[in-house]
Formats: sequence, structure tokens, C-alpha cells
Amino acid sequence: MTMEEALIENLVLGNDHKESMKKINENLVQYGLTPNQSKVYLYLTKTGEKTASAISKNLNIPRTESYHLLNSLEQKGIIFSIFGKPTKFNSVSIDEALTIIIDNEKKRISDLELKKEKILTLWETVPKHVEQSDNADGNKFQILQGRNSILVKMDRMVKTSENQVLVLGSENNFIKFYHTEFVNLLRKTKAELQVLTTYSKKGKFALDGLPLNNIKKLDESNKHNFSFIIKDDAEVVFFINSGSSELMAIWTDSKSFVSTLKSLFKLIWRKSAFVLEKANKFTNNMSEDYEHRLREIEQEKVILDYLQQNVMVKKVGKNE
Amino acid sequence: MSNTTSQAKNQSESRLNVLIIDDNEQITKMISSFLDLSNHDCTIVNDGKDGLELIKTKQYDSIVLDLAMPEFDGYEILDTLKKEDPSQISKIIILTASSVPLETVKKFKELGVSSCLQKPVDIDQLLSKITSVTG
Repeated sequence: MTMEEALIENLVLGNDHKESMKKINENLVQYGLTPNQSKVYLYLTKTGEKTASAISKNLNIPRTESYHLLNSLEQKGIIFSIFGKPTKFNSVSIDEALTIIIDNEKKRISDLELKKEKILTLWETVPKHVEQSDNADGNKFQILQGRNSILVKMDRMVKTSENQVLVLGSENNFIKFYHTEFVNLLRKTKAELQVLTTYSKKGKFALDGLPLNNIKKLDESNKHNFSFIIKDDAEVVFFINSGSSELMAIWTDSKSFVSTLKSLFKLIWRKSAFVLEKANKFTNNMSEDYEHRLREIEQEKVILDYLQQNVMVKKVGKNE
Repeated sequence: MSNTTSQAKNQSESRLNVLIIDDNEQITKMISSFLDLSNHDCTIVNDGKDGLELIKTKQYDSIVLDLAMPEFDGYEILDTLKKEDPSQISKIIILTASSVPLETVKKFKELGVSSCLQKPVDIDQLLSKITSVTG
């Protein structure tokens, strides 16, 4: 029996809760707990105070490891020990535990920000032995894995753009970045902005606040193929379909790469219609529009003839 | 029951409440006039969103729907009804000047649309489709 199975079995939960517990477990790992820390914490939260040996036995974790786990969870502040013989352990509520973990992370980031200045000041005092190469810019590639690292890079590109920001991507990609600083930065950018995207009724909320004059509708044939963002003529981030659920992208400042993608963007941009032109979508094709209008006129004529005849019939009927 | 009362009752029973949704004001007014001549009640709207709102809030025996309308078109109305109130779809008669591919017509049928007519359509045919929705 795996540890996870032991956990679920020992939590005396019905089958209905197994999936929920698995999901909570996975989410706690994203909060920085190891899978075993998460299991121990959840076990205590569901069952109440327990001795280390009971935890070890019920979760099928070696005794020594369970002490390490309990110690680390105590240091994080999400479980506590109760004096007695033997010592027992209990957890704070899950709501409180999440708040504590988030606050700890915030403090860690704030400490890192403070340390940045110190490191840079110290760095200035160190003599430099390597001259910066003249060709340092223009041929760098970087693989960006995960939504956050992609977002950080794209945010920085939009913030530092001076001339132009070109974005091509489906609404689904925009939705992934909804409620982030990225869309907000696009709204505020002083650079010329051009966005090519699928623009459906369902997904256009993700583009709220972006000037519609700068958005063209990506046609069906292009919508799944690629997504990228180009800053000035200098940098590009393009997404890779890795097949996994995790987002992946490549950033580069390679001039040939940027120039190729920019040409592609411009080509599609020229062929595409502004989203504001939707009202006129039936007038795009002149021939179709002509036939459409002709049928409308013929319909009007048919109804008019009918009305004339019938009104005449009624009048004649009345006169008689 | 007297003959006159019976006739009046029959007339009242067959009097239909029809909604016309078409951005072409001329056509909506004309259809409204011939329905009036045929002793039916008619409500006209020239905007898709207003039309959808009326479908959701009022009861109609039959709905004549244009496909090509600015902002909110007939396809969007059908799409919304499919999700929110599919029972209304069987009351819909599509009346469009657009070329509708056969595949799309089949899809309309699968969705439950009563009829799909291309303009110009003969008035008797339209009237017969409108009355057959309830029949």
C-alpha cells in the first residue's frame, strides 16, 4: 500500500472525498510543502492530535522521517506540539496554514528585494576582468518553463518597449494571463500596440480594456498554430506546444528570428480585419454582398406585391 | 354556442403571436403588415440582442429570424438559445438573404429549427411555415 493510499484509508473518508484530498494534496505541494509534509499536515488536520509514532504507523512513514517532517512543519508554523508524555502533535486550521505560508513567502521576497541592492553595491566594488563582448546582444536564447517565468519575461518586454509591441495569440492564451499584470501593461504601453487574436464572444473578456482599434481578428486557419510577442525589433517570446500541461516558451533576441516572426506577423496583420469591422463582415465580399442585397430587394418586392393585391381586394370587398 | 361566437373563438384561437427579428426595417414592417392582414399579432425588432431578450422574456408562437445582422447575429441567437432555452428553437423560422451551405441547413435542422428559408420567399409559403410551427 502506498503512503497516499494509507493516508486516504486512515483518514476514514468516504470514496467521495478521495479526489478532493488528492487535489488538496497536490495544491499544498504548490505552496512549497513536500508531498510527505502535505500528507502529514492533512492527516493531522483531519484526525486531530496524534503522537509521532501514530502518525508514522498510520501513514506508513519510517519513524525517523516522520520526526523530520513534524519538525519542518513546526518550523513553518502550521503544526504545533502539545507537551506531555508522549508528545503529541496537532495542526492549525487549513485557512490559517495557507495564510502563514503566504505571509512567509511574502517576507522572503521582500528580504530578497532588500538584499538585491546590497549585492549590487558589493558587486560594484569587485574589479572586473572580463570585458563585455560587443556581440553580447543578438544571439541569446532562453527556454522559459511555466506560466510565471513566461509572464515575468513578457511583462519586462512590454515595460521596456519603446516603439512597438506585436502580439499574436489565441484568446485561450490571453485567458491564461487574465488577471495578471501583463494585460494591464499592454493597456498602458506607450509603444504602438498591434494584437492579432481570435476574438470570440466567449473569450473577449480577457482583452477587456485593450483598444479595439489595435486588435485584428485571427482567422480560423491560424488560430492554433503559434503564439508570440515581439518587442520593438529586438526581442521575441514564442510559445511551444510541448504536449504537457505546463506552458513553455522560448525567448530570443536573435535578429534573424525577430525579423522572420515580424514579417509573418505583418503578413497576417495585412490579411486580417479589425475586430471593429465585425458589423461590416457581410460587406467584405462584394459579390456576396451584392447578391445578399438583391435577395433582400426581391423579398421586399414580393411582400409589397402581396400587400398591394390584398389591400386592393379588401378595398374592393368593402366598396361592394 | 352561436355560430358567430364559435367563429370568433376559432379566429381568436388561430391568432398567432409572431416575433420578427431582422435588421432590414423595410422587411420587418412589410412582414408585420401582411401578418396583420392575416389576423396575426406581430412584434418586430431590428437588433439581435433585443430579439434574444424578447424571446427570453415573452412568449411567442413563432419567431422569424434573420441570420446576417450587425453586432449580434442570428447564429449567436441560436447559439445562446441552444445553451439557455433550447425549447424556443423549434419556434424559429430562419429567413435569410445569405447563402447558407447545405451543411449549415442540416445543422439547423439537427438543432431543431422549424424551417430555413432563403429570401425571396413566397408569402403564402412563409405564412404556411409560420402557422405550421404551432400546428
